Amino acid sequence: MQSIEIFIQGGEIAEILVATATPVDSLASVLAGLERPIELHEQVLIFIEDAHFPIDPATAVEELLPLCADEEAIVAPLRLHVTKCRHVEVSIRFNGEQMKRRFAPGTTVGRVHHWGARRAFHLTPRDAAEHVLEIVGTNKRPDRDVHIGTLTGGAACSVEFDLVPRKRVEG
Amino acid sequence: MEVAIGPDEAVFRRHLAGGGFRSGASAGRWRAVAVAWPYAVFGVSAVDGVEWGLRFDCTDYPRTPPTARPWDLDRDAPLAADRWPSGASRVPMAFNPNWKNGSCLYLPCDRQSIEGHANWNNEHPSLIWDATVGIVHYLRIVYDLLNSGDYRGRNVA
Repeated sequence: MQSIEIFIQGGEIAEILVATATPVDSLASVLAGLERPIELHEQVLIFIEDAHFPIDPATAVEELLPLCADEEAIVAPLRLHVTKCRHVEVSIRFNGEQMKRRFAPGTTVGRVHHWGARRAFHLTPRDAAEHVLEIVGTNKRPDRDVHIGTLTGGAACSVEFDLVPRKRVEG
Repeated sequence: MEVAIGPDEAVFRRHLAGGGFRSGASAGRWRAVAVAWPYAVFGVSAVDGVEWGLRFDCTDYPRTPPTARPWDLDRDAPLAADRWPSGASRVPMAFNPNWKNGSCLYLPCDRQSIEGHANWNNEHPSLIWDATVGIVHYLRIVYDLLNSGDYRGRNVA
């Protein structure tokens, strides 16, 4: 049976974890089969990347991927987020203004950046691409594929960013 | 007979097997083309669909930052200077064939370029080599450049 790659992020997971599963494996069994198993209980929620609502841990992997008559042809990986946060409160500061919005914890930094730069602060596509999200009070600029829920550290379900220009490297 | 690998190569291969690298590879952002230690060739995708080759020298990885030069994936040779990526400002600074004879990228995460640039530690802390993240850190920086508003595609000779 085809093996499917699964990438897992979470508020208490330091790095992106990788698992492989068959199409009929449940999410719960995938998480339980990790080198450091993730135990599910009432407070732990599973999200699909960029999706708004948590999903049932009993859901089979194949039910979360595009329907494919030839299961050997399944090539898309599954990207999950495991968390205790149902939402993450995001704030972004730019040019003396601050905008706030709630996101699902499995939302990528790339999507949050798109909202902040294009929708909240109305930058042109080119200008948006020349700005990056930096966590307030640090020099950390999380990669675009990082889930916003990983930046909460698993404690408060919130994260604050500055939208800063990418500087030219010189001198 | 199994050939033993050194600790630097072992860490490098562990980073390639990690979620950060594999997630980016799965999303089509980069791929490992070949590893012949201490050299490793990668392809990095640009916003216009062009795949740019980079050849890294990873000697003493990850304690010492790697250094990378643009690489012609078809010819398995250094990329001709007139075919390097072009851009408005940040890209041509990073991809400057006149810097160190084209042997590296002008980036704070590059072993050769960081020499003599202590000021970059304060000016570009997010671009300084991070041994805990490893090769993915360098690849992300290059990917961001090649997918930025500054990038203008391949130089036309």
